Amino acid sequence: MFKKKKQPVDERILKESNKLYAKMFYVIQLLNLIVLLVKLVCGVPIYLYVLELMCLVVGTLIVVIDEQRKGILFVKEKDEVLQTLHEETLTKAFSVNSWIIIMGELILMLALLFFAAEYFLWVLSYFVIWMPPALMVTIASMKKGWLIWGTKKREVTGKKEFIKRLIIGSAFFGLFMAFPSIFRGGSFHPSGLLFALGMGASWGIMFYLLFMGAMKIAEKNADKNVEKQVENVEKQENENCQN
Amino acid sequence: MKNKRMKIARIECDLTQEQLADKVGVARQTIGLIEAGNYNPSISLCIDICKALNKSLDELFWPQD
Repeated sequence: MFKKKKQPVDERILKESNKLYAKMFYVIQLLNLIVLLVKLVCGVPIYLYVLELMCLVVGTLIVVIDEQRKGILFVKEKDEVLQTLHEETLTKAFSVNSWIIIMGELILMLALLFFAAEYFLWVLSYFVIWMPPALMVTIASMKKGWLIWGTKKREVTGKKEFIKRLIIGSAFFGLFMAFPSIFRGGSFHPSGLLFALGMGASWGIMFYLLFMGAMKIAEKNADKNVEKQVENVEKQENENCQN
Repeated sequence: MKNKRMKIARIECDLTQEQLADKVGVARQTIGLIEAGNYNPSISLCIDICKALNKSLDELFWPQD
């Protein structure tokens, strides 16, 4: 009944971080709504706010369908277990919304470059949507010590996976930034590839150092938090003994 | 309340918090918090810990009078 072969992530960290992601779902939906209203007032073409509409609809649908499936959709007073399930659903919706915004933004950036360059600056509006939740999640993860590998095994596989993703991300970033140099004046310029390599490598190295630094800080904070909590328990036990 | 029985069982097995954490697939800090009584593990994690320390659930997690 309780048999579970594999624990993908630390259950404590998962539960604690889901609490934050659940709140971030409301933040990202609110930002989507605000940006959407601004765009509607400014009267921009529909393709500039289709991502916000998608997020609002898809995010809400995920919550409704998932909670209906779990049978907790209209349960008002949620106990600890139902609250955990509710937070899992909101985390799922937040994650899907983040992917829609980030991937959609990249696709839209490329499309606008080729077909509607006059609207290109509107892409900045998506930073307003994903930047605040991303910053809040990163800061909280470092502060609360959630940004840790956990076990040795996970550290090895996690590092490998991280480097693989970093290389793909750096290559994409390099090509994206050097795109105008590679296809200058409508023809292919191999020298632009060197620029792409340089851009990709510098971004990759910088991101690697930042991420590893953040993980070190998180590890230290995780230890500090545990020490603090152990101290509090000991203090409380001593007080109880004296009483 | 501190879970001293778990700490004792871990030391008896000659395991550090990190080694036990690796065995059960959680972070070292999580083991620290369970031993400090500041985190209530799920039943599946309790079972994994019991298996790793060769103890029963009662021996490690049932509250003592």
